This record gives sequence, structure tokens and C-alpha cells, in this order.
Amino acid sequence: MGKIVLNQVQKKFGDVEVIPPLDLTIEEGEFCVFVGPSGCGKSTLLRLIAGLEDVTAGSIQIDGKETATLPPAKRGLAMVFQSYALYPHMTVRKNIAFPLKMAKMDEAEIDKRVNNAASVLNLGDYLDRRPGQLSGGQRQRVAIGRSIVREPAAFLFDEPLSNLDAALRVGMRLEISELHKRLETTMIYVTHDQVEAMTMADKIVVLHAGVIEQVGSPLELYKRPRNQFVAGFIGSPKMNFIGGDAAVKYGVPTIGVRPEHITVQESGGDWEGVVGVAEHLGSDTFFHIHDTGLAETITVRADGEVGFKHGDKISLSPRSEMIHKFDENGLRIDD
Amino acid sequence: MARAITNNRKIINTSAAWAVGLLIFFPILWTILTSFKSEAQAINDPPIFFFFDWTLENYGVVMERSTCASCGTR
Amino acid sequence: MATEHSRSAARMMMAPAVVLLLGWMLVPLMMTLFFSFKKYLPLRGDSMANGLDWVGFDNYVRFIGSSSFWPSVQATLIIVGGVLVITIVLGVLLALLLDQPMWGQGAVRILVISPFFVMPTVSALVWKNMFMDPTNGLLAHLFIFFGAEPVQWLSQASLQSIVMIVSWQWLPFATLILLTAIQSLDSEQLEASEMDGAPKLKQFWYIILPHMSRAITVVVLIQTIFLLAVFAEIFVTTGGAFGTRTLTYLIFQRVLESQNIGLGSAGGVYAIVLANIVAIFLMRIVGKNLDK
Ligand SMILES: Nc1ncnc2c1ncn2[C@@H]1O[C@H](COP(=O)(O)OP(=O)(O)OP(=O)(O)O)[C@@H](O)[C@H]1O
Ligand SMILES: [Mg+2]
Repeated sequence: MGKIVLNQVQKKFGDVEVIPPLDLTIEEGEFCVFVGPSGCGKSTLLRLIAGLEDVTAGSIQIDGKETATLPPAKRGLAMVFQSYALYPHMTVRKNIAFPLKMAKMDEAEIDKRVNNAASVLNLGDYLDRRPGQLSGGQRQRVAIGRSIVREPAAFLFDEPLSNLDAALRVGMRLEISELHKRLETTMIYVTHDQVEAMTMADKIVVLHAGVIEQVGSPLELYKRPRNQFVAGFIGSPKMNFIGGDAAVKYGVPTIGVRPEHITVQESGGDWEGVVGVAEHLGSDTFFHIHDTGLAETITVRADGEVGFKHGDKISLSPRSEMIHKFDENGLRIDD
Repeated sequence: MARAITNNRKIINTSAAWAVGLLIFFPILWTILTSFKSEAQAINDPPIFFFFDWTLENYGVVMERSTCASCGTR
Repeated sequence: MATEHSRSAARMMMAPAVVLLLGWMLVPLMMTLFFSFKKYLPLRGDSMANGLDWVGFDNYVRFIGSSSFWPSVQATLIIVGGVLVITIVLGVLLALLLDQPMWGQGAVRILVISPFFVMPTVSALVWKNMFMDPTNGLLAHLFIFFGAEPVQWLSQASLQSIVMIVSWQWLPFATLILLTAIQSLDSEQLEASEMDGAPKLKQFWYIILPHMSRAITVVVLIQTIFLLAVFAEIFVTTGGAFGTRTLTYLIFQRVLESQNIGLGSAGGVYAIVLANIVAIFLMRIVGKNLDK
């Protein structure tokens, strides 16, 4: 249950083509993350799958069934919205029970499922409260509760964590991952946060202006980004792109090196530069290095113990086996 | 919700809303129309909707009768 | 309103308005109460200067004992209740309709709102002379056209006619408030309920209507206050005849036609009590809905 196939799906709003025809297959039980910058069409793609928008062209199949004529409720999908979209005048219990009530399930079964969902999500103490009396994290859990009671073929999440504070976000991220492990249901998760994408996904779909730039596992995207956009988007801090002579040495127009693949020393490296800002995170230190003659800034990730300061002259060496090469169109060149 | 609204739907909405709107507005419209009729035509049987002899005589009467002594200007 | 300082400053600045408003409300209220315990018949030579006789609860007893008292309470409640039901039900439906995408939305909204700009006296005259007149009224023509006997609106169906006229005037207000309420509904909630499998009717019942309940309360309360005081429409159309004498109208007759100020004041106090009972009653009903 829960295989979703998109076939030449296209979406236009009026004359504006937001999503050019694209193909995508999401396997059963997979945790698939759509990631990309703001406005690239992630939500639109999710809403197309949910049936909240009509496709302009192409088709979507869920478990082999054509969905063109299926209304959202009949697709067997559950969605968690960015604003949670809880029903403010209903208690948590009624919120969670709502889809079951609409499906005309009998009271006993509804109670059983609601209590079950509440215990899975630690909502037992809040069942009789209204959404307005809950914290952001609790509301998020109610929204998830409302979607799991339906036992859908797949879950759709639209940036569910973006309203939470950093600590809670990490906690909820784990909870959702655990939920996925336990339910083994297909999940499609939209985010613009590449950390969420990397940590949660089985498969990441990188979108850019409605176009799929690359599909793959987190490590695949990290190790072998198909083009400069993906290379820059996945990984934090961002990959350094270097053109000019330094790249010509490798025989390509542009090379990319991740900050964690550059070592710093006092002297004797391949490149020279001056430390601009040093961000000490404790475990790591990020150096933003200027005046290298390679790019505006080169970011380096070093061990927390490395103690260079602002203004220090330092020397950098990339790990040559970790250098990504790109052609003039920004596409990856493999050796 | 944000799905493309078919033109059919929109035509139905538009005609329903306009019908209701005009129905609600009708007494006012009728008042305005009648104000341009002569006394006789105003109570004509059957009522004349549009093709009567438009006249401003009622407005003149109102203006005349509304002269107030205390204003002293007229 | 954070600090003690800002709070007392705020109080200082509000004080003049509060005092003025209190005076505005309290002085007439006190005078009404005062007169209601006095015998005050100006035509029989009673005047403030000569001092008025204290008659205790006589006026109250007489007002309530008059044969027109209970019918007038009934007429009042029918008018208020009838108009409330009609304006809320039609207002909700109209608001739903006007919220749909359509051509010329702004123009339609103006058409729907237009009756609100007509003065009550004018609208009563228009309805009485141009629509409900049994010989020249448009409705009479319409009935004859369909081969029916014209209705003597203001004598045979007097209360219904007044309810209709007043509803026409107040429908725009209800529609406008309810429309803004619908527009403030988060569209994601509707989408969520759609995904949850709620058909349109249930979406309306479980999501839209509860969302509007607060606005409905506001409409009910504001309209009740104004509807209890409906006067021009009755004065112009039936002059209180054919069972359309409301409490307000009865008080008007007692004070101006019978020149009995004491009796009228006692009626005024009853009207205040009635208004409060109705308001509390309505708040209870709607308030309960809100908490559910
Ligand atoms: N109903 C609509 N009508 C017209 N254009 C729309 C509509 N909805 C979205 N768009 C456009 O489609 C593009 C993609 O929007 P979408 O909401 O899918 O972006 P997103 O990737 O989810 O961005 P974010 O991360 O900010 O949520 C945007 O350029 C947006 O302006
Ligand atoms: Mg979005």
C-alpha cells in the first residue's frame, strides 16, 4: 500500500507554468522528502498528489489506481498542514475523531482508534482540551494524530515543523521518523530545510523552479550531486565553488569542495587566505576565509580545537579525492 | 479549494448572486423609477417598468414644498 | 497595558469619556425611574414645578394590567424573533453565495447592502405605498397577474408584513458581518476537512458554521437591541393597529396620545427589563454554542 507514481505531471496557474511535466515514483513504505528553495513548487506538487489542486496535464497513480477523478478524501491519503489546520472549536478528541466520524465508523471503533493514536503520540492528557490551549508541538501531534487514525496509504506533510522552535523541531523530527519506522507507511514530506531532508529521508527529491534536479538517497546526493544546484543545496555549510585557474588545474571550468573537505594549517597548503569570521560551535569551527583569490569567501569546517582568529593568515588544502567537478552548464563531470 | 473553478460553476454563482442582489435592490430601483413618473403613470395598471414619460415634476414639487420659513432665503 | 504607570495613565485618559457616557445613560434612566413612580399628567395640570404626587407602583400595576400589555409584548417578541431568524438564515446563505468566485462581485455586494442605506421611515413608506398597497401595490399586481386574490398586506398579514419590511432593512447588516466572518476562515481548515472526507454540507455544519458562531452572536445581539426599538415602520404602516402594537409603540401611545408620562415611564422600565431578559437569554443560547 502506498506506491505513488507521477506521470508527466504538469501544473499551470493561468499561463504560469509552475511545474513543467515531471515523472516521479515513490515506492511503498518510503520516506520521501521534497526539498528546494522557497517558491519552487514543493507545496504545489504535494497538493497535486493530495488532490487539492487539479493537474493541468499528466496523471497520478496511487497503488495503481488512476486518481484524475478521485476527490481528495477518496485517495486514501492524509495530510498534515503547515498551519496544522486543527478545528479550533473541537476538542483534541473530536479533532482526531473527525475523519472517522465522516467515514461513519461506529463509536466504539472510533474511541479505540483515538485512544490508540493518543497513546502513540503522548496526547492522553490533552484529549479534552481545545487546540487553542495547546503548545505548538502538541498541536502538531494532534494534527499527526488526526492523520494516522485514518490508516492512510500515505502521509503528506507540508513543512510541518517550520512553526516550531529549534529544540522542538529536533524532537518532532525524531518522533516523525520513529512513527515512520513503526507504521511503515509511505510518507511524503515537504521542507526547505536540508537538514530535515538529510536526517529523515529514504529518498530526497530536490526541486528547483518546479524541475526535479535530482532524486536519490541523502548520501547519494551528498556524495554525487548531479549538478551545481544540488551540490550547493545539500550540505551545510554550503559547498565552495571555485572557478578560474584553480579549477583549470583540474581541467574543468568549476570545482566544488565541501567545507569539511578542506584542511587548514598555518602554512604549506595549496591555497592561502585570511580568516574573516571564525564561528566556534564547540565541536566544530567554521572559518570564513577571504583573500584567497578563488572566490569571495571560502568556508572551512575544522575541528573545534583549531584556534585561528580573525585576521590570521592561513593556508588551505582540499582533499583532492573529495573534489566535485562541474562543466560550464553546472553539470557534474565524473572521472 | 484552490482548484480551478470551472466556468460553469462561476456562471451559476454569478447568475444566482445577481438575481438575489437585484431582487434585494429592486424596491430601491422601483422607488427611483417611480420618482420619474407622473402621478397618473405611477399608479398605472399594469405598472409600467421603463417606457413611461420620464419627468422631473416630482423633484420640482419636493424642492418647492421644502422651502422653510426660518431659512428666509426664499 | 503593561506597567502600573501606563495603566493609570490609560484610566486617566478614559475617565472623561466614561463619565460622559455614564451621565448620558444614567440621567435619562434615572428620570424614567423617577417619573414611573409619579402621577404626571401634563394636561391635568401636573408639572415638575408644582411637585408630582408619589404614587408608588400604581403606574406599574396599571401598565401591566392594561389589556394591551401582553399582546404588545407578544408582538414585540414576534417581530424581534421573526426578523432575527430571517436575517440570520438568509444572511448566512447570502454570505456563502457572495463568498463564491463570480463576475462583478463588488457590484453585487453593493446591491445586497443597499437597503441598509435607506432610512426606516422611507423604506416603510416605499413598502406600504408601492408594494403592499392592495390596489396599486406591485405585489397586488403580481398576485392578480398569477390569478390570485391580492392580499391586504398591512391589515390581514400585518405582523408578517412588518417583519418582512424590517428584515429587508437588516439583511444587509447580517450578510456583511457574516461575509467577513466566512472570509476570515483559514482555507487550510477547509482543505483539511475535505481530506478528512467531509462533504460540502458537513463542511458547512462542522467547520464553517462554528467558525461563524461568534459573528452570529454579534449580529443577534446588535439586531436585538435595534429591533426592540422598531418604531417608524409601525408608525408609518399600521399605526399600531391590527396587532402590531409593540411595547415601544405602546409606550409612545401612553406618553404622547394619552399624555400620561408616569404610565409611559413605567412602560419604559418594563421595556428595559424585557430587553435585558432577551439579551441574557440569547447570550446564553449562543454562548453555549460557542463553548461547545
Ligand atoms: N493558487 C496559485 N495561483 C497562482 N500561483 C500560485 C498559486 N499557488 C502557488 N503559486 C505559485 O507557484 C509557485 C510555487 O508555489 P509553492 O507554494 O508550491 O512553493 P513552495 O515550494 O511550497 O514554497 P515555500 O517553501 O515558500 O512554501 C510560486 O511561485 C507561487 O507563486
Ligand atoms: Mg509551501
